[in-house]
Amino acid sequence: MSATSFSFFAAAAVALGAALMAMVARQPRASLAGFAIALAALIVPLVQLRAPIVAAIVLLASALTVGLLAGLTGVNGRPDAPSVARGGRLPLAFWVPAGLGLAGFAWVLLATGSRQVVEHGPPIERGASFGDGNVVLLQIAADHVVPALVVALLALCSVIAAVLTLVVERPGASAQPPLDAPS
Amino acid sequence: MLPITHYLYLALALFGVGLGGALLRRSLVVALLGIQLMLVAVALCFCAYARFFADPGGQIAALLIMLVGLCELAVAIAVALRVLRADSARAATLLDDWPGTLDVLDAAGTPDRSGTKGQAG
Repeated sequence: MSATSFSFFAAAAVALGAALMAMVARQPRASLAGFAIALAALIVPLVQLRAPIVAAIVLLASALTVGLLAGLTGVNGRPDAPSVARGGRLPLAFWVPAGLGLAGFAWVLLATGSRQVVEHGPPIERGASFGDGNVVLLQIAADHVVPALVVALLALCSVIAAVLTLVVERPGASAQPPLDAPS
Repeated sequence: MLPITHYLYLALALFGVGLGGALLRRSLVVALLGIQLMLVAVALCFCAYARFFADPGGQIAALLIMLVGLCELAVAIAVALRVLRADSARAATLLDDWPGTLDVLDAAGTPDRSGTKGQAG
């Protein structure tokens, strides 16, 4: 097993395990820790695919996500007590899709290990322009102007919506009824 | 380079894990993390095909996907912070999971502001 294969499988195992922990853990801090580990492990395959700029964006997004959500969960001001009602059994509607998901996960692991026909991309020489951040950004400016503009407008709208959500106060906001109360 | 199928299977597994978390959990935090995980899995898939075809267009698509994910995250965090400012006890319930603490609070009439959870029954 080459160093590339070993690093990929190690990173994939860490990423999948941490992602599973993030989704299964019932405490927000444990979920955040698992999510951070999963994203950090995903940097390895992204770098192997010669996409360092995407890896940097993923790292930035993960740092932003973890920072904001850590601040959000820290508002609780209480230790990581189990937040699930004790004694209750999870419904069948949980166990059926969860079992299917675990079976699919096992199938993915087996299929990854037993793949007989491999498909490689064309070799890329050292020093080629593929994966260079400057080339990617120049190609965005040259060939993908419309999608970039749409995403930029979407980002602008979302930032405006987020600021308005935080700033604008409705009349009588101090006596707000519960969110799910009948009007 | 490893076969492209390795990366695709990894992306598929990550997408499935994120989808399961986003659909099966009631916690706001885990739902957000699941959606972000799905977006990262799709970005990984695009990067794998970009490498396979030696075309940076896939990396551009992955970049745009991640930016859209950041936009979604910004709005979701703003909504969560708004709820947090309005009623810290109710916002705390948004971070909890499974059998609805919101229902417990509503049944009690007033939210529990002491930071402890309401007890059913």
